[in-house]
Amino acid sequence: MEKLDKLLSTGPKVLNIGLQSFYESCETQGIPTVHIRWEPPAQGNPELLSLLDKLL
Amino acid sequence: MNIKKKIEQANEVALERMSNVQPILVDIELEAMNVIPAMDKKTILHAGPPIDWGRMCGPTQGAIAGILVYEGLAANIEEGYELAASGEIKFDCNHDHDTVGPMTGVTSPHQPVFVLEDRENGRKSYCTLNEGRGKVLRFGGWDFEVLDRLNWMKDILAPALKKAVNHAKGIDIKSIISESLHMGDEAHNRNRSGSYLFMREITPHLMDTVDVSTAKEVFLFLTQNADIFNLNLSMPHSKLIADAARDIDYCSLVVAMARNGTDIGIQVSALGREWFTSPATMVDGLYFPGFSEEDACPDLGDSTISEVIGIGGFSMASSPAIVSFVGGSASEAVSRTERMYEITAGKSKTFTIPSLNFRGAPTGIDIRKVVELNEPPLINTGIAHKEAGIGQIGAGLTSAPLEMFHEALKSFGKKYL
Amino acid sequence: MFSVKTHIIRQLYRDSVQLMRAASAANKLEGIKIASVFMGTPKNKSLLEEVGLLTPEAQNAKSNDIIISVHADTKSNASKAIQYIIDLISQEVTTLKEVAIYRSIRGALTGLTDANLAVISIPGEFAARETRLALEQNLNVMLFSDNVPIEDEIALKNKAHEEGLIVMGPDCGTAMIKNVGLGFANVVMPGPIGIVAASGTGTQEVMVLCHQRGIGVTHAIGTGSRDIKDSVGGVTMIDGLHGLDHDPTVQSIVIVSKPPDNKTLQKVLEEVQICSKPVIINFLGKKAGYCDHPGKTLTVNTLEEVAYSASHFIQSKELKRISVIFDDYEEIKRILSKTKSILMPEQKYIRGLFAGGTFTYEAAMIISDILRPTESLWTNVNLGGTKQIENPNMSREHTLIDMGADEFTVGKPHPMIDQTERTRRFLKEIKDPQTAVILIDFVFGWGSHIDPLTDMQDAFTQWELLDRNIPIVTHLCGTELDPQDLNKSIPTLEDLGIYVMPTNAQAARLAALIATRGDLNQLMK
Repeated sequence: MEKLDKLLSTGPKVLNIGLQSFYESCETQGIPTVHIRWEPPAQGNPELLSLLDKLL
Repeated sequence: MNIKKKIEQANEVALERMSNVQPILVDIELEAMNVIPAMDKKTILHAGPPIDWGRMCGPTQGAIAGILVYEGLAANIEEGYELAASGEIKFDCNHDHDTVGPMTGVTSPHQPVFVLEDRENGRKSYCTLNEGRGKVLRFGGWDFEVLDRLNWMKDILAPALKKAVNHAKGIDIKSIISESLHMGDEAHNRNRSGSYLFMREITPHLMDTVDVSTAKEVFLFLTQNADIFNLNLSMPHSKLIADAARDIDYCSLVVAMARNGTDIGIQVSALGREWFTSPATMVDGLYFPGFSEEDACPDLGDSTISEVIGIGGFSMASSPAIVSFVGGSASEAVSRTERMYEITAGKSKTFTIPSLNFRGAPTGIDIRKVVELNEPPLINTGIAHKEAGIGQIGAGLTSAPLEMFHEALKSFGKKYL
Repeated sequence: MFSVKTHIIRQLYRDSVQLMRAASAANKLEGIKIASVFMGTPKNKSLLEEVGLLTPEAQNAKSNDIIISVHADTKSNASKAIQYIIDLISQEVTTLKEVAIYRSIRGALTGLTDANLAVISIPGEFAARETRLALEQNLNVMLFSDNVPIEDEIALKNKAHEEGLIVMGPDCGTAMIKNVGLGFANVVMPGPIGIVAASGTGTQEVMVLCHQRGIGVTHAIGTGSRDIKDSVGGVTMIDGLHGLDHDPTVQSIVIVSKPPDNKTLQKVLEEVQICSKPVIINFLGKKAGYCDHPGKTLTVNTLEEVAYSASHFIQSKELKRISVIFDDYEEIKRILSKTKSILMPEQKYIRGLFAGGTFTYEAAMIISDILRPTESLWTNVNLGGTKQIENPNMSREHTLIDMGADEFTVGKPHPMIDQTERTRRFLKEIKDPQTAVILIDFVFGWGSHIDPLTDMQDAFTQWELLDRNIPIVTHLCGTELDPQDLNKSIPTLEDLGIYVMPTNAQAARLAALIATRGDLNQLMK
């Protein structure tokens, strides 16, 4: 609970993964935010993804 | 301890070892075969992963035919080609002989080589002396002018520099490279500042050891070729640093990345000497007048050892001028470096980038992160003509293909899971 | 002579919204029958196949390739559209480049070291992995993505709970943290209300109605639609409830959700009673009265009652269910007498086309109560008392359609972002001689279409030119602070003769009365 409580008391500082418009609306509302240019990891290859889950 | 932690720790160890290497230019050996391991009169080394004569690109074949003439094993270039194809000559890749070479990277038994040493542990690395711009062997040039220059380098340049280096009791290359990053070099496509810094170091010793007319000849050569000369010092320096990260159990960092104009390959610390390869890529670049992409040979050379330790393409933010190769802006240079932090294990303690508030260069390519993010290592490089004998036709940027990282990760998984 | 042309962009990833925006723009070009832009996943290929655009090139594309496939009247128009799309896609790259340097949560944390929330809106199959990585970095998560396997949801929520973190979602469309709107959220004043909700548009309606009554909202914690299933156990709802209870700015807590599964319902009601602050509960569809404890908890029936009761509590400190039927009875009487006089006898049915899922559900509840027992209400929302429509593309009798439901949004944007599908359906419904009234919602706020009314301008013009009168009843879920600006929007609609109701519930009631030629008295008893 502590980390949720802290989120509610300090307000959001956002890492945005996905839709850029969500990043833009955070920016417009003036909160600290960083956009992540996401792509399907390992080009979506299931074999590599399962390796990454174990190794990274 | 779980495997993820083991990998993280191994990668930390690798970074620590890399950062502790102090590459010193200790000597110039006039005949490579005297110092390069497992080399004899019939061995020719080349850039990139190992490759048979038949699959070699035009420039590499031309350079080999040319160097066989230089070695006196063939009377002319045609004989050089014949001899090379005959099976009588052993070909192997530089990297597996503690050596690196730009572009075709051809290294022959009787060429002079820089000898760099990490005095802490006695590890060494080797590289031929840079021939400068224009028609040169490393781009597959082989005519009279090329061979003539190689002989001058063997007879005049190398002995003179050898005396000066010996007199200096060694020259610290790492401090030259780190300073040059603050002077607009990224130490792969731009080496001008590094060359000037090297001249600063060598000058008093040259004056003490050779006659004035030799010194003048050497200076003229260095000044004329300042934009590239230091590359052949930067590369073995990077090789020595990268080699310190080799053979660490569980380490997922790349310790070599190199191209032979047909294939590009990587070696990974925990996976020994195995090469993981993909077809070499084309370079997106600027061409000298009269040439275009149609004339270009695919990406070539051991010089991507720079990117392996965090300079070159990874330190693009240090060298905004280079971005013009792809019509980019200074902010594009910064963005390229920023992206490389995403696929590396840490930041260099030695190489820092002024435009990023002197943040350490992104160092230690982690195959796991490359695969996860589909973010290929970015490479700065020169472009050779696809036919032998013509030489450099441009320079530009490219990126390493992801497929070889996929294969390396699978192999890594097979070993440890 | 029609021509199908395909162009593949290799190894380039763009999110589906960007691609669909490009497709949507290209569809408006001259001579274009269909233009589609997709990543080359198997799922998308089957979509292409359905519309006859799965050319051999498209078939060969990989998951990381972009497929542009165009059906046009001539080759040259097809080529023009393809070039247009390529330009649009590459344009976004340049703007993106300025914004985005970071590729991973790991990397982004070096740029924002004290980040405390990851907002994740990526395809569902990858969302669990990214959520796990975020939790490992001690980040709370708002997970907008849907199609996340429920086993993943359970594991992620339990992990978050152990770590003292929260996972809002999957399928969490709306949240507000310290008055900052996330996802689809309205701009409202800060204030004493804290919401925890399984419903996105339900949350929006409550925050908007509170705002309009002068009461601000500080937090809205979205749980995602499956949190209240017993297999998940309400982890997020309960943690959210306690989070709001701990926050000193919150004076009253609101819960909005469909009714939880039995075990979870019991658990939630137990937790509600140990809260130190009054809690107002709306389990949509569950008749109020199941958990009323004076001064502590209050159950209500509609979103409107939530907001009205919450603001009553803040203003008077009295916890009491506030029910209204209409805000302005005189106005309703005037509308009903007018519509009775203009409707033709065969105009008998309500046709509701919703962007908000919860709006559909709530309207269906209200309307089915008003309709005569002999009349059927067809919907695609799975609500007792209504009939499940077999073909959601074809209305029959009284029909309410959630245009944001899965059957409309696989491979297509949600109607809150892109109204193309809904506008098409609107045009179809107004041509049906049996349509008595159109019921339609507009959801404003961050994330939503920036100008949904202008977007429907052409459709409204066609409606005005009809030889029959079909009343339109609408509800705008928005505030004057929203980017779409409620104060500018209401006159725009009223000038067209469209009836704008203050709440979704009132819009539903009015539509039902219009279609049934009913009057106010029947609702008063």
